[in-house]
Amino acid sequence: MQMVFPYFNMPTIKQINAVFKASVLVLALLVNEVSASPSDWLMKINRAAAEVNFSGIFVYTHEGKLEVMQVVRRVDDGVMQERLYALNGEAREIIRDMSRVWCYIPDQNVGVHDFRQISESGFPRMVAGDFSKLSKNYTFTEGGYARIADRRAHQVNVIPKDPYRYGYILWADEETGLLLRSDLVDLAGNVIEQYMFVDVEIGIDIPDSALKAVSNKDHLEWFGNANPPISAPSTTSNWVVGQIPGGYQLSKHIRRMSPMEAGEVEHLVYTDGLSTISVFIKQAREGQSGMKGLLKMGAVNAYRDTIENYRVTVMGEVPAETVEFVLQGISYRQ
Amino acid sequence: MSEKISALVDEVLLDEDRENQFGQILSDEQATQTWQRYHLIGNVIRNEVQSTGKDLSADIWSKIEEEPTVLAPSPKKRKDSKSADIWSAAGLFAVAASVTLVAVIGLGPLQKDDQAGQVALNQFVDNEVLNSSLDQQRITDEFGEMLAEHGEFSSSAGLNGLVAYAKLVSNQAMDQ
Repeated sequence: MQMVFPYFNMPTIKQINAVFKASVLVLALLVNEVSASPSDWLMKINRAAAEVNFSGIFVYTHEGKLEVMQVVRRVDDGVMQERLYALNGEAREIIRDMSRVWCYIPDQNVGVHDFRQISESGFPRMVAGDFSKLSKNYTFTEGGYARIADRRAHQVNVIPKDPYRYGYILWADEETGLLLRSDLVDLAGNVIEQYMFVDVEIGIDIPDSALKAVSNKDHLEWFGNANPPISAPSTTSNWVVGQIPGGYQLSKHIRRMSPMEAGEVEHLVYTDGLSTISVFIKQAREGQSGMKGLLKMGAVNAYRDTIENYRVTVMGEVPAETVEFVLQGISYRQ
Repeated sequence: MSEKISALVDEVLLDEDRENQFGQILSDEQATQTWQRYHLIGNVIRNEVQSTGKDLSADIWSKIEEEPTVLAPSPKKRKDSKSADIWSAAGLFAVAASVTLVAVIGLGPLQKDDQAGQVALNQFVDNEVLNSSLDQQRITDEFGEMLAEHGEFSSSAGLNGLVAYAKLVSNQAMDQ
């Protein structure tokens, strides 16, 4: 005899699965809400940067100026393609993939094609080191939630433990981890640079057409090179970087031919997992000792001097004192 | 010429044949002339910055103004494909950046940083360096090159690698 339920039909296996999955999702969201730590959020940001498709408009503020840009990023099976388009001012446009960059400057009738030099781990990540190492030099705190680009975003504060580096205030999309806003903060708490999405679609399909340049290419004179840059990893050097703030480790050491003038350039890259310091060393041309001193380009500080007839430049998104400190410890080993 | 190169770039990804063509284009005389014009753009931007009267050290610019009419630095020596090979394409992109940085550097780097108490730091140890716009351009190119390369390894800001390019686009836009 078949039993008859008067009020509802027997759920199917498919329906049971759906309810189960929904329950797990709700539970996961609840657990995430309760237990996600700043390190979890940083990892989530890191993963999203490498895995998530998105299309949106963000503002970039620096030195009292505001720029508005459209960005599209597609990650397909680990292969990343991006398009960046300036929405105010001149219609400059950048298109890049994992190895190349095309720069459109139609207002000056110029285009440039370039090969990228990126780390072996792929395109740059926000968190390159593990969290325990980062914790030696930064304090991470929760900052609550905010609404950014009509999405719920979680705030993480990254506070440096010494004066050699800047701090960050980050807002990550709650659902995907995509970084929706990033403030670079100096030692006095002033925001030096800020990136913030004002409109974004995440996890969408990006058609090929969205990654093609929209700039008028008819009158551009193109510059570029048929071959990748000549560079090679280096393990030996006559140069000694005698002092570097705690937590910074050598992550890259390459030699390459300078494209600007004849001669080899030695490039050492140090990172503490969040910020990066570059050291460039190049032999000075005869009769030219170059300039000495501090340079500032937005959040980037650079200090340059001549040592043993070599032009040495230390550069990074770090305080001016840091680049000067590093440079003063550089010496030539006979 | 520009149409030819533009056609290559339209395809976004260049195959081997196109790359060969690319190299050929870059090595010919017309491209060299274009290169000169390209550097001229930098001078134009520089002059615009100069006209604002606030971005660049008066001393530096007064020296440059005293120069006879030197509108562009000497063209890069790219007479054959071999020399083109030596050129790093990364640097060529940096050149695009440096067109901007002619102005960008003027926004602060070559000025004294009184606020930081580092007045003595911004001195040119060899005045010859800035005695001509050629040298000014050389320094600018060099910093543009370094900034672009550093940007590829820098992950300090939020948008993971796009930041460096956003800066370039932005900087160029703001200097119009």
